[in-house]
Amino acid sequence: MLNNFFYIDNSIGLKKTYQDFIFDVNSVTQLNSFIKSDDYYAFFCQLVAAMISDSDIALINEAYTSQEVDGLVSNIIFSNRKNITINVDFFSLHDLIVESKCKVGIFTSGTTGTPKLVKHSMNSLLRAVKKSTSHENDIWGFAYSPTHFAGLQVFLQALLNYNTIIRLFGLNTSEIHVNIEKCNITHISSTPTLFKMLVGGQETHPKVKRITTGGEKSDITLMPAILKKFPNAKVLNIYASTEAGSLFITNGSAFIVPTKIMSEITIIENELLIHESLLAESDSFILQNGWYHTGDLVEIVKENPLTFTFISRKNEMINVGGYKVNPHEVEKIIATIDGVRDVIVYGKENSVTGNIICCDIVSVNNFILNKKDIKFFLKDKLQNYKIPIIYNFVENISKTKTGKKERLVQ
Amino acid sequence: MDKLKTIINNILEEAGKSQIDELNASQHLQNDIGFDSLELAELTVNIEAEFGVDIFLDGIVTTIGEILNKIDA
Repeated sequence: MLNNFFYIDNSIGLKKTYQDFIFDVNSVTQLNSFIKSDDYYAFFCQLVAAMISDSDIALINEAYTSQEVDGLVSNIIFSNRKNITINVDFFSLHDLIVESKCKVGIFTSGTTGTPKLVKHSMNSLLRAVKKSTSHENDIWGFAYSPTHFAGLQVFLQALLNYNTIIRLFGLNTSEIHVNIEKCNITHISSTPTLFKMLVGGQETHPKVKRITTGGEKSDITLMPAILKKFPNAKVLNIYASTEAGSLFITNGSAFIVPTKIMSEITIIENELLIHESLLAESDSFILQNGWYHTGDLVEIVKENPLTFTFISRKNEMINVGGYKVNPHEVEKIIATIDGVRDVIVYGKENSVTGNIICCDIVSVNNFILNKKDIKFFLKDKLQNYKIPIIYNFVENISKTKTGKKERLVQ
Repeated sequence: MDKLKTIINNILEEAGKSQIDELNASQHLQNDIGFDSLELAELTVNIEAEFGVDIFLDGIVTTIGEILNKIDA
């Protein structure tokens, strides 16, 4: 099993066995308080070294600009290095991770303002991970960023079962199809938006046994297309949040609240509430009598067991293909462009990505602004999913009686 | 077909990608034209603005031919 592959990235010809991985984890002698890297193998080595050495670690998405990282590092996490000594072998790897006291910090956009750090204990990260002999031959298509909660779930599920992880994240759809077949992938977890990219064409992938979707509202019209493309797969949709981790699963659109967390979930005025006992650690949670308001609007389908379907987001965060966009953040940056007097950013429903970002811009008198120049300006300041697709140049932006911009989701 | 080609090339140009000289029905939106999911989202918006049809509303569209069928339907 030592010679089993741990990680394969065919786009760069990288293949690492578990033996390689153990050696490289043991070779980590220094850790920062955070990891930011688009080299996923190096990322995993550092992450596991942090877990084994009980070192708290924050994960920063590789797409963050240097400016954004500086903000995170100075305001939220400290940049310090520590020396560590790791001595793990293949057989002790599992237990050392499961028993780790490490807290892994992930950033969430929250409801407004700058990203907030949410720290998950190993208990929280491992809640939905299943270790058993029935999983020992699983081969995982890794289609999330490892800084995303869902990405961590897939990573830990694969690692603790000593499975192989095949990088799919960041590849184009042709490459993904080739990798699924070439590497005999059996399990793929990703967003509905990615699966919409994959389901076209005639080829099928009969070896795939499990498809898991999450990160966005599930699209029921996508299911027949997924089943046609992956005819032997069981398809599940997972509700997970950065704040609480994985909570519910469904094979349709209705989520059933598991018995063991029944008393820690409630629905009030159609909003899903989670008890603080299920939450990760954070300075930013606002609780009301011990309950966290998720901002997810749901409809109760059945009372016992509590079963619900997801309707929409309540707050202003816009979900674009599984990525949450804070409109205020985008407005702040557009407002710095010469000639912009006022701007409002909002979402509009879209059949491909769930939502797209739109903006209305009021220009300074006689200043001519155009979409192309604005998009070019935003390119190195924002991740691509945050950059508006629709630009309306308007005379004014309507405000409510209290002077707040009217941000209507269309 | 010309209007569709213009819409497609505008998106490609803004994305800094190579534009398409000719469209044909068999071209694949991702593999041949080179669209990612955000660009496909923009494509649906622009096609709907021009032709009044949301091409992804009833299911996945993967080729130029499938788009033309929906626009002409």
